[in-house]
Amino acid sequence: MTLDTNDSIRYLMNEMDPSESIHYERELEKNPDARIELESMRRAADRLQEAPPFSAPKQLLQEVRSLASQKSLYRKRQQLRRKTFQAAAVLTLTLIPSIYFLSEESKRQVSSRVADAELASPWVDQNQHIKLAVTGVNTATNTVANAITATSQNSSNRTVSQAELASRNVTPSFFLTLESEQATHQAAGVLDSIYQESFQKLRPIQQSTQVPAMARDLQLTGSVRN
Amino acid sequence: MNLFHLQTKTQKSHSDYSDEDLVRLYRRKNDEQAFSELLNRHQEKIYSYVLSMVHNEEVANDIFQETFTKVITKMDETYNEQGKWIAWVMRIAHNATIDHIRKQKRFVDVTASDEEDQKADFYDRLPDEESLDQLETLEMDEAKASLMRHIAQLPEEQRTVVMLRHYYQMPFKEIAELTDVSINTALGRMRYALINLRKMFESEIENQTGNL
Repeated sequence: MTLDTNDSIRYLMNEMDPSESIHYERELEKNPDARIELESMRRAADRLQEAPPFSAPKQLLQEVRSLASQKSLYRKRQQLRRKTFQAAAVLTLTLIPSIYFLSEESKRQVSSRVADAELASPWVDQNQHIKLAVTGVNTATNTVANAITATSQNSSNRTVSQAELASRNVTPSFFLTLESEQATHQAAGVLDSIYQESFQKLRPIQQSTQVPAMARDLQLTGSVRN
Repeated sequence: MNLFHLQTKTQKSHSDYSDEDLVRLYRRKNDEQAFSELLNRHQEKIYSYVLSMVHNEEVANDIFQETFTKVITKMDETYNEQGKWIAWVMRIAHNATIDHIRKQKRFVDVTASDEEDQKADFYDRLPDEESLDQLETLEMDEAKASLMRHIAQLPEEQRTVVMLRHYYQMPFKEIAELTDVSINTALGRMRYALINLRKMFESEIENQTGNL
């Protein structure tokens, strides 16, 4: 084994494996120059060991710790947010199919009921419905007139008699001219209740042949009945 | 050791855990005490290395803070738990130190290839007298102050190897990786550093004898 320039350092710094160290020591015995170099470097290395350690200032360490706490707090918030999103995602994934299946089921049930009802007694009462609607509009006109009169009593310049209002045509543009929101709401409520009432008056037809439309084997949609 | 294990051993104090376990505790359980323990364990090595490289307390403080800011903010993304935590921190500290030195370079640097680098004598570089004066402000006895002055006069590459070895007991393989050189270059730099230091010690002794 010939001595490499870096062998002395590797030997000195314990970077050689045991077999290499033994070989190196044997070579040293034959090479006085290498021994001298090794000794001088050992002295320098020993002196180097006296280099003192330095501690970071306490305030600096405290600042670093505080930074670490802030990061930790931020990480906690992130983890909490992540968990919330995960929970929301799981809920959504569970709820959406459930709602979908439930709605499908209810649709199926409704359509089967409608089909059953159609088979049992078809719902066609066009003439009566129209009649009811006309009655409903008349009643609505009167009731709206009442409501507007009641509301407009608060206004000194606007006193509208029931008779005047009843003589007017009640049109959508008339409703738009109403200034009082309260009156509009009341009117809407009244109209709703009238329509509900008239709808409830609808009755299933017992004998379809009595209805002209049914007699012609036509449905209201215009499709030919089988 | 897994986290469940770590949690069940509640009686165990933080000082009994390995660096890797402490890092896991801090990252996954947000255990601030674990980070504090890591800091206490390694701050001296890191600070000593930085200070011995820059010879200025204020600059060393800045670099130390910059290092740990990066450690804290980048730990989640950059550090994988396979490697040693301290080696990863050391790399950050070393890079920050070298960046600073290169920005503030006050040496007339002799640019050299690996081979030339080994031949370059430390007297080819002009020491930073202002930086050396900063060492005087540190509290230590005359012998240690003199040693630190000598170390400060070593070329940056040699000083890096000497300090990494001294403060970290870092193997030359790791020093070579950290400084992006071959292991032989790292060993060569150590050898030249010791030769240069020996010259300085001898000259110091001659001066003392001359004064007497």
